[in-house]
Amino acid sequence: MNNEERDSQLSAMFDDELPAGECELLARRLARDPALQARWGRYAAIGACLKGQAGVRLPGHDSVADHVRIALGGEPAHGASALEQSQSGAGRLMPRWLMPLGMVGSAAAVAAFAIVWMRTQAPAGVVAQAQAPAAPSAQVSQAAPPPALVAQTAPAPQATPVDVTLGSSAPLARSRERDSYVLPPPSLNAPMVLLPTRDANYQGNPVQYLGPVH
Amino acid sequence: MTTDASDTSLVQRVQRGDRGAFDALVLKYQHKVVKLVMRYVRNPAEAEDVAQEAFIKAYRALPNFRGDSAFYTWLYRIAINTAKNAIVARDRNPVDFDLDLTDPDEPYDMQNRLKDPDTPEGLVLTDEIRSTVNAAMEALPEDLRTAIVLRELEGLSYEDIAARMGCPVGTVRSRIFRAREAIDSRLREVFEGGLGRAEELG
Repeated sequence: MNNEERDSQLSAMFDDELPAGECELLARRLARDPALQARWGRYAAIGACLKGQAGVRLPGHDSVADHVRIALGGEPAHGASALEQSQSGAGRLMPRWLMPLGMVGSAAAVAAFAIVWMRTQAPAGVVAQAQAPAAPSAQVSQAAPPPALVAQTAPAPQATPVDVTLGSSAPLARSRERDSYVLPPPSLNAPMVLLPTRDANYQGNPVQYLGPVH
Repeated sequence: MTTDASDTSLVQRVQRGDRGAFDALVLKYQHKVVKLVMRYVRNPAEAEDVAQEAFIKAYRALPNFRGDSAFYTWLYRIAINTAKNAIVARDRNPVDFDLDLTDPDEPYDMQNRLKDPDTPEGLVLTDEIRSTVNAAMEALPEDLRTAIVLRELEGLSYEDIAARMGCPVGTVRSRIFRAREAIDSRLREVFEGGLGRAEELG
C-alpha cells in the first residue's frame, strides 16, 4: 500500500467510513506512527475550523491532546502487565496453576520461621499463647511484631505495657486523589479570555496531573 | 456505512495497552469536547482544562468501557459530568477578586494572569489557521469543495453525499481525501517547522 492509499484510508477512517477490518489494521499503524497521528490531528483541526469552533489548535501547538499526552505520561498503559505476562511466558518460573501453591508454601515457611524465632526469643508463656489454636496466617501476624509487641500480647504481669499506637499521632501523609468557508467562532465578538492556567496544573512534577486550578 | 468501527478499533487498542491509540482518540475529539464544555464553563481556558480532565478520566475509566454505546456518547457523559463538577468546585472556591495587584506579596504568576488575561499567541495562531484553511478552501476545485462542505458542515455520510452529488461512494471518498490533503498541504506550508513537522521528520 502506498502512502496516498494509506492516507486516503485515514481520511475515510476519520469519517467512520472505513470497513472494520481495514480500521483495525490502520488503527494499529495510527497508534504507532507519529506522522500519521499528526496528519490525523490536522484533519480534526480542519474540520473544527470549518465548523467555526473556537480555539482550534494544531498537534504540537499547545493543544489539549498535547497536555493529555503529557499528563498521562506517568501512568501505566492499560493491560500492559497482562500483555507482558502473556508475552514473557518463557521467563515464568512456574506454571500459572502452581502459583497459589507457591504462595501458600511461602506463607507456611514464614510462619514456621516465626515460630522458631519465638521459641528462641520469647518467654515460654508467650510461645504457648502464640502456638494456641490460631490459623497459620494469624500466627504470622502475631509473630511479625518486634519483641515489645509480642510481650504485650502475653498476659504476664511483669510485662511492661507498650504503646502500640505508635505513629497514630504523627501527621498522616495526605491521601490522593459563506463569505468564508470557515465559520466564525461563537466567541469572536466577545474578547476571548485565555488564561494561561495550564502551567498551574503541573505543580512540581510535570507528569503529575493535579486537576484544573479554580 | 457510518459505523463506529474507527473508534472501536482505537478503543480496543487502548484497552490492550496501546497508549498511542488514545492519543488518536483525543486528537479526533478534543475540539468537539472543548466546544461541548464551553456550554457550561464559558471560558476558553477553563474549558480546555475541563476537557483535559475529562480525557484523563476517560482514559482511566476505559478498561471498564464495554462498548454498549458509542465511544463519543460515553466520552460526552464524562465531559458533561466533569464540567458540572468544575462549576460546583468553582462556586465552592470562588476566585478572590479583591487581590491587590500592586502587592509584591501576591504571586507573580497570578498578577500576570489577571493583568493579561488573554494569550495573543493563541488567538493569532487560531486566526492564522482559520485564514489558511479558508484560503485553501477557496482554491479548491468545486467538486472537492462541495464534497468536504457536505461532509464537515452538513455531516452527511459518504452515501448521502454520493446521492447528492450523483457520483459513486468511492469518488466521494476520493474527493474528500483530496480536499483534506490540499488544505493540509497549505497548513504545512504556512506552519512549517511546527505542526507536527518535526514528528513527521522524526
